[in-house]
Amino acid sequence: MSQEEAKSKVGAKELVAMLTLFTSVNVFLNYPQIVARSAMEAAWMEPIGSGILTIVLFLVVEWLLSKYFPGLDIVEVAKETFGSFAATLVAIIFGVYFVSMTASIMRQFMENVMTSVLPGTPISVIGLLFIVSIGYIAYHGLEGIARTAYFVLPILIIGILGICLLTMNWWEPSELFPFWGTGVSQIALGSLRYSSIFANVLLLTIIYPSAHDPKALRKVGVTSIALSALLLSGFCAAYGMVFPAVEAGNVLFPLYQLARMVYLGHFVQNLESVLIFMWVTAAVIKMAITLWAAAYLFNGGFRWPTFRPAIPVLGVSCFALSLVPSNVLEAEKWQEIYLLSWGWIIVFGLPLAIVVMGSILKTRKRGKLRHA
Amino acid sequence: MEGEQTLPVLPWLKRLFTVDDNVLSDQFTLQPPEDSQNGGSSSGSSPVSDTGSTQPENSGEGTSGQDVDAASDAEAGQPEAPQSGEPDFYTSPDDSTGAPTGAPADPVLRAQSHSRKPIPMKELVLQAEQRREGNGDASAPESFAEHPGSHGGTNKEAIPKQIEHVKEKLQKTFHMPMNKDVVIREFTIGMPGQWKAIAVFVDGLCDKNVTNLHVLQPLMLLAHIGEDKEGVQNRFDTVHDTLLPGNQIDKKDKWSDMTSGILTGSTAVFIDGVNRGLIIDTKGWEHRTVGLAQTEPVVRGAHDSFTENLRANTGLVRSRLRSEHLVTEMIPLGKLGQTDIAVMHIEGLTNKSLVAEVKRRLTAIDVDFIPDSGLVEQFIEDSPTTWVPQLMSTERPDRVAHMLTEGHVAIFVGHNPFVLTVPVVFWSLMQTPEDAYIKFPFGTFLRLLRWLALVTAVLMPAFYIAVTNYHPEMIPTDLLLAIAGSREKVPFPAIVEILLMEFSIELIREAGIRIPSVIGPTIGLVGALIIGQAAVQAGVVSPLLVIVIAVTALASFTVPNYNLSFTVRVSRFLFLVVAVMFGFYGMALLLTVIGVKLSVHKSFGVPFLSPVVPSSDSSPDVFVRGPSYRMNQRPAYLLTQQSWRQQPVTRPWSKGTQQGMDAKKNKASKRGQK
Repeated sequence: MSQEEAKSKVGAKELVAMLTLFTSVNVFLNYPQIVARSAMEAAWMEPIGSGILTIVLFLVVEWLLSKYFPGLDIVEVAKETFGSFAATLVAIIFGVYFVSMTASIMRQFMENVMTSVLPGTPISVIGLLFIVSIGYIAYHGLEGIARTAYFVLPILIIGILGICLLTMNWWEPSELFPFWGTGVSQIALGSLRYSSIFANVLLLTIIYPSAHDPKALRKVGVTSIALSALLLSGFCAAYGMVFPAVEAGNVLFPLYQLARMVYLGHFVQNLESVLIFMWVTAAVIKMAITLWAAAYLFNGGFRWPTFRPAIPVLGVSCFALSLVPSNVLEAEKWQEIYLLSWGWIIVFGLPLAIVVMGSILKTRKRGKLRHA
Repeated sequence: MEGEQTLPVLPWLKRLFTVDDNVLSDQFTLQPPEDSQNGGSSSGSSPVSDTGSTQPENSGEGTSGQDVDAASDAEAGQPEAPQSGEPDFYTSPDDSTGAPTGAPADPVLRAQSHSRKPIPMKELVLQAEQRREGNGDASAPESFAEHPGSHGGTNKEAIPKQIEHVKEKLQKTFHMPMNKDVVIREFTIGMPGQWKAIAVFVDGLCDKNVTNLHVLQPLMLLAHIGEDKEGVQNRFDTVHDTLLPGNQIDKKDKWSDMTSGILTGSTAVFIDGVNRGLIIDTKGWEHRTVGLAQTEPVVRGAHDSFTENLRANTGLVRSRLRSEHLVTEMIPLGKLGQTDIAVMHIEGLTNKSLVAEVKRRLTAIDVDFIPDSGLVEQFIEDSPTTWVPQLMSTERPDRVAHMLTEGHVAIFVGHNPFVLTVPVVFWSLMQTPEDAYIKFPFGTFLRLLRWLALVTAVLMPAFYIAVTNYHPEMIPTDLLLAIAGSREKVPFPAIVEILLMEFSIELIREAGIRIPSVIGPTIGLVGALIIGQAAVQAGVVSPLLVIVIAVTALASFTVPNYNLSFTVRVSRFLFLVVAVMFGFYGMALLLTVIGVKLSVHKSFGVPFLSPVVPSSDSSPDVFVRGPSYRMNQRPAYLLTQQSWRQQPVTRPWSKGTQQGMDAKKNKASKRGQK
């Protein structure tokens, strides 16, 4: 690994902010719409279910990492367990996942900006601004991203809670009944299926060596997952109370539409434009995290001396990839089918498998040594 | 190779694609103090022993959220001197391509470099050529220190014994008789005069009364010299020990020291037959007395400010901070004209690596002359291209005294009324001493007002443009119609209006500095009338815009730091441009980018946004002003040798304190019972 990244350390509070923001930004995308379609009136339960599952898996992975692979990230664990070739393959898989995620999010946000702010601007110009900003932030590494996230998180929380509370005059609690929506099994299935938004497990395995105090990572992970789950759940609940369940599953940009419902008198209305500051900032930071993670993983997998020259390259790739879907509906469809539905394999399954197998092999090696 | 032409590549673009670990490496990172126990200073005494509650903490452990660049720049800031004979590069014997690897040419960076990086063949050849030139011709810019006939000559020149030779050397050194500023007074010491002597001083720099009454008179009239039995050398000691009543007299052996003393306003005395000289402090040039602070006035608090006299300035700080541990180190800078730089810190409190780093950066300045602290600031700041100020420049002695007690280092630059303090964090730039001197709720109110003003000053014109051009739905319908109606007659787009008004405001601001005070108010009134009222009536600008610009200008004047106000002024235009092109979207992106830049930026090893990010322990004195009785610890980001600055309980007589302590005792006893 390069000297620069080996040296950068991030504090616990900054990591909590970064991981929380990473997951909570999904409130600006079509996640509320997807869970509303999946669980109907019980949409607010799915983030909680996903969060609980993520916490359990996170604790398992964190325990295994701290016990068997202290100070190593997922690529280094794969290298130690399976060899260099496997490590490179793992890095490529994760890197491609993050590139895809960046491209998908970028397309959705670009369409969002076009719809709400700049209808006459070419999408390529909007995307160019996005990618330049994201690349600049990712170039400064994990420290810059985490510190900025620490700043932005309170604004994000206030914004989300503000939107939820400012629409209180539109709430209809009866819209949350029947309580179990489409049923417990559907809710559980939906929680598992769309749990890939909680990429904390995967991110933990990447940022593990960069934590200032690895022992605090457990608290970091649990806090960030819980906070994200609460934010998502709270928003989904408010969203479900304002829009009927069927309608909630058809809205393209849930948060934007909810913000448009704010009306508290003559002067407190049409606040969706003010939210632009919030969700643009949050989106940029999330994409900076994914872009940085992709560059970092490729760096580890291919053993480059540093990851920074890869950022412009990957940025352009993400931008090009984001323009592949012909429209936003296709982009969201691809995201739902490929990234959200099957992303849990990459976000949970693969890191868990690598770490568990690595732990088993290491235990066996130690056993052999003892007997020898 | 020679003759080969390459395409010019922008440096930042080249750096983007350079496979180099140290592209963004830090120049310096503040390290925790080596000895954080009591008595960390060399004298063995603690500077805060009076508090009785010194609880030094290992700053590296307590702040779990604090970023630490662990492996880089672990040295105390002193660069390694390149070893003699060690080449700048070496060729790896296993390198089949023949490409050599090398260390940076700069000796300062070489000490911080931890890796050997490959350099292209072209650079290698260039280095070899430079070394060949360096051995022969003088490749470095001509330095006045080595120039023959320059002031002082070399440091090793001795003082001639014969008085005639001294006079000749003085005339040659100071270009006399062409130079009329330097006065050579020949006289004889003693009644009756026995020893020839010369007094040399600069007319205008020294106090003539002191020279006449306390140098010439005692030597010429009041000295009774007996037979010179003990030899010529005794003359010098006799004059120094018994004849001259001055409170600061230095004995000097070198010619350069004598000339330096003369140039600082002292009187030099040379005695015939003695190869040494005396420098008597007779400084007394005309300078402004201590006056009001021009750029940092307050209502509640001290009103004095620094002046154009180094010793007066250091005295103003010392009169407030009466501590034997307050140390002033002098560093002379400048080859053509020396400027004394005073580095003030509290020994045993201030982080030693910080002091060492300050001195390292100052001594690296190799120029002819330093006229102002602003130039020193540009020489020693971390990133000259960053718009935000990275050093605090203040003209308030109370502020400097307070910052010294927190653990900062103060830099006095010659006879300049602005003193620099390092390191600085962004939040300090928005604070004034008055926030601390008034009750804390009002101090908090003032700070919040100032933060709001900062946001207004930077974003309000851009916000207006973005709302009117891209987000008119935000404005209530009645107001929107009123705005549209007022803009109906204006022939320009909103951005042109704003740029016209901003340009006018900037003109007024610049002209206001130089307008004679007699006609200043008149011009201000005329300017307001013409630019404001007449422009609106002529339909050049809309009334609402005048209000926007006026409020923005007022808000920008509330920024306490002068350097930061320039940042605000320039950033405002940047936000205007992105707002007119991309509305809130562009503004949000720019804000995020600026936030990232500031978050990774450092000022003398301290992250610029400390203690917010990276989060560290701090007294309630960042965004808001907390009570003075809770400011128990120094800012953790300064990594001082002593972290506690006051007792945790400073109001033991207070009823509230008693109740709080009783409650704590009850809790503790209940826990003990359990």
